[in-house]
Amino acid sequence: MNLIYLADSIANGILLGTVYGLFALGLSLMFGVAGIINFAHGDVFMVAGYLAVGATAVLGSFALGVAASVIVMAVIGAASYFLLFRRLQSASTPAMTVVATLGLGVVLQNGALLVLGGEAQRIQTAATRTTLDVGGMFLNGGRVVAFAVCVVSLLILWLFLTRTRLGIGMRAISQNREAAAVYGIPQARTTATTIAIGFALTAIAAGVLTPLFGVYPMIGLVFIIKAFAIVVVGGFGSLVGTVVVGIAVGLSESLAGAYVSSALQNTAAFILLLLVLALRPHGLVKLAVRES
Amino acid sequence: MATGIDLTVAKSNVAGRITAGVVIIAILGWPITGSGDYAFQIASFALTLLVLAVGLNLVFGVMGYMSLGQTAFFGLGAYVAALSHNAGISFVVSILLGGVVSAAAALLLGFTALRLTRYAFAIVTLVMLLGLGTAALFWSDVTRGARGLPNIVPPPALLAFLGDLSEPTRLYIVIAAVATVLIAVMHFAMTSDWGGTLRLIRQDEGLAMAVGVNVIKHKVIAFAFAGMTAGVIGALHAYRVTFVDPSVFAVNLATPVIAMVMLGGPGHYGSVIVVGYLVGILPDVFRFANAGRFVIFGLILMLGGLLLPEGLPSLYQRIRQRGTGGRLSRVEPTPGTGDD
Repeated sequence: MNLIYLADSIANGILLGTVYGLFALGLSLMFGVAGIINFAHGDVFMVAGYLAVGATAVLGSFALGVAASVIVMAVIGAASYFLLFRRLQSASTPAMTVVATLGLGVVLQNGALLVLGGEAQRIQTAATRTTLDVGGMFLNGGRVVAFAVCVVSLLILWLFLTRTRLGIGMRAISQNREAAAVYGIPQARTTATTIAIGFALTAIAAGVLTPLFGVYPMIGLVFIIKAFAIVVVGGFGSLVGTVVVGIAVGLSESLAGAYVSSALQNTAAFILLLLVLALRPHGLVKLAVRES
Repeated sequence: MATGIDLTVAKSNVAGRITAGVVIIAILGWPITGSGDYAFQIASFALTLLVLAVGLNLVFGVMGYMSLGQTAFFGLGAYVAALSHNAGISFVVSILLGGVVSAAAALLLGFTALRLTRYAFAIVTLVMLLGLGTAALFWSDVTRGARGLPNIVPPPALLAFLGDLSEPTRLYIVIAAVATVLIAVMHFAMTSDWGGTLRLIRQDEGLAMAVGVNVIKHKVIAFAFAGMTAGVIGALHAYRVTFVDPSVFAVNLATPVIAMVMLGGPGHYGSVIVVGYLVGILPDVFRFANAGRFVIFGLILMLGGLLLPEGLPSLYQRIRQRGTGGRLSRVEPTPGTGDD
């Protein structure tokens, strides 16, 4: 009985952690290729969640709604490169990028509060109402669907990054911007694509999580902690590292919630980050190595 | 690129000091001309935010590390004061405790986080702010969660010699006195030689190390010092509003503080204080609704970060440049704050 409870917590942690990993990948890719850390990443998640809810209501199908939200967010992502991130890339210092993207996040949060109100919006899907019995473990159908969608998305992303010209160009820029430019990799187009992909990944994560958690103006703040913890611990720009640490964060939250308290569950990502910083400030953190 | 290393320490002249004195008296005195307790509440809160802004100006403007920790230590100080008040500790001691605990937290965090890049530092401070908020919400055995800690009332004998002044007025006098001292000490620190060392760290950390500056020590001291001031003013805030709940850790509370520094010009001294105070009182004077107010603060951060990284003083300089026929040049970003 206890063993099944443990297995249950582990399985749920892995399911949710994969989604966290996918969400954090958007942040990680943007830093790798554009050199920008988007402090409004959580609020992009929030906007995508509202879009998914709205599109589901209009189109009458949850799958179509999420797909529409992903496409719209990708377009917004590409546009945001030309309107905002390109300027930050060329003109700003890290501190100013932090200030500007944080400001964007605050505008999105309070704008949503003004326009849409503070109440959580929810979508009910057939999957979230289903509970699967897998060898005695009870898994929420919504989480299983979320996991499956994320695994497929990760596979597509991996194929894109390793098999297509644009994807290889993205990796080249993240390794060495100048060399990539010398070899004729178009910077603007590649970076805009990266941000579009980052926004699309975020929209996928938001789409599959909305039936589980709902969406409200400040939800981005809950998720940005997890994303930041994941990317700092997992190393910015590392695809595998981000996903693995994402699963680790999901697992530690789930186990802490099951065996200790909800307080620890909700601060697990935060504590994990502080522990890693205290024990291995330069070891796991690729970002830290960049400072001479 | 930029002008090289600039360690100018402002030496104010007599006219400057008189102007500053008049401005300070005007700032501290205006609630008396306003209408009753409401004006005192606005002014108290504006001064509270101003202490946080001047602390942020030290860490971010002078030293070059963008920190969301100022409001985190503010909230920590508020909770420490509230908890120690409930434990029967006296008014003065609980406020000192707020400062000590916040300084200790900043010391611990700064010792690791200030070794990271400026990006990673900003991330860690945001995570700390949100993490403390979550802890305050869920660690309900101690914090009572979202219900908060009520009845944090100052002692009835507080400033009893002032006679029959109302409670908000008495607390305003205490807050104004403490805020003036804290801001003056920080101002003195920023304009001292030590402030010059911090400016060198902002502009070229490698050079600072090369000339023998113990960079991490100075950074940690500055961060802990700013954290201490935030904790003290946070503790006073708890007594003023008589109630502490997790909203003291809200990101929305951090935005006006950052907006004050951005508009006043990061690294500038006087303009951050004057512009910051105006940012603190104007939304209340004009009674903006809350969410709309934060949209405006958010826009200030966005546009400031994008277009005006050196605040309103640089805009004034640019306009003056144009007036004398000088070419309108784009303001260079603050030098040396880049990681790569």
